[in-house]
Amino acid sequence: MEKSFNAKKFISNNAIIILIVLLAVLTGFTTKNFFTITNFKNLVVNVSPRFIIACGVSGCLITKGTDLSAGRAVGLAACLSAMLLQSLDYAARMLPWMPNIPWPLALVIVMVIMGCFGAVNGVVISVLKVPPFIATLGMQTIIYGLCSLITNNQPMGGYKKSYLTVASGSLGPIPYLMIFAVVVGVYFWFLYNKTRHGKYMYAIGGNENAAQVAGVNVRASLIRIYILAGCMYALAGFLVGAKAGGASTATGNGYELEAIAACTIGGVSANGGVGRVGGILIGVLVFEILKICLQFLGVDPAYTYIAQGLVIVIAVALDLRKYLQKK
Amino acid sequence: MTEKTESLMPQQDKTEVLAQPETDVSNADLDSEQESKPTRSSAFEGIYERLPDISVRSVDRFIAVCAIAFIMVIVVGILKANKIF
Repeated sequence: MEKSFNAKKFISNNAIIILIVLLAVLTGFTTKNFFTITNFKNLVVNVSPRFIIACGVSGCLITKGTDLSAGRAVGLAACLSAMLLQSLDYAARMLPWMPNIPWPLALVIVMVIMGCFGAVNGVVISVLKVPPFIATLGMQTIIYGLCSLITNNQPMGGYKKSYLTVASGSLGPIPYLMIFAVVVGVYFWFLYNKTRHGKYMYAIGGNENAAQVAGVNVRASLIRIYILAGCMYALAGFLVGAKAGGASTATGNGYELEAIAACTIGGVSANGGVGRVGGILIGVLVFEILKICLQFLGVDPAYTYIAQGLVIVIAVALDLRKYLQKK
Repeated sequence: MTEKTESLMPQQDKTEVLAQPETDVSNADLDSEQESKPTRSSAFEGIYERLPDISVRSVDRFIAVCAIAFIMVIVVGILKANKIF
């Protein structure tokens, strides 16, 4: 039986993507240098860390939770990376006694530390049954306080060249940041679609009680999800710090809302149990392309914030519409 | 044949009536078990279920209004950027 193409359904399911594509086409035809390799590389470099953060948050959203500490965790990770990877001859080194360590080791250390914060989130949510909104809101403030303490509210810079190259370098035409994002994307696709952990995650999001009765260890699964999210924030913070060439307590501020919005736009339902890695990538791209288009068109950043807010509202309304249709 | 089926029916009704209290009890047990288990809740969990009855058509209208507002914001932003108003 052939399925006829339902134009109304296609438009309602992809309204945001259609709007953004039209905006990109309009921008391309009315401005110079929009459809160029440089601009595409710029887009890829901006999207990569945000995609990694969104992948981390997605597990929390799919299990009907949330993680409001993502942005501050990225900031703390950027500051920790800065402390470990400042140049030996930099006068204002935060840790003068720190020996010269390779950047992969620094990344592992930062991931372990942020994984511990994720574990705390997971335990508070799954064992103590604190609502994720409240638990991660509290953690957000704690992380910000810790970041202020360890940095003395001073911005940091003076990085080693090898660390800066992680963000600015490329393998042929492919930026290293994109390679990191692709590896994370493939890993998460495999995890969500081909592993038991992924099945358990969707089961918990669909119906936690039923998953529990079916033998899923809900507590362990949730703790793993939040630990993985913490590790992703660490990686994203590490890359954001390298890209910016500096870090401070303000780094990562607001990133969690963008990540949650991108996930919602990409089809991760606010009702839980639904979400794909491809959708998350589309959600992040929609946000970044919107920002870049409005920048190219010379639009005041205030209008960009309003437009982003409207995109989020439309995404949630479309999600609600799907829920009502199923009902 | 029809008499036989008719004579069966009241008995079936009786068995259903007899069965009912047991199923009611077991459902009540399940419900009470679920209530006693502290369920993990979030600000978003069941958010759609808590909303009042909304039709798909009204959601469609809302989406259309937001889409128009989005286009207007961009158009106004572009016009202001080009100092048209």
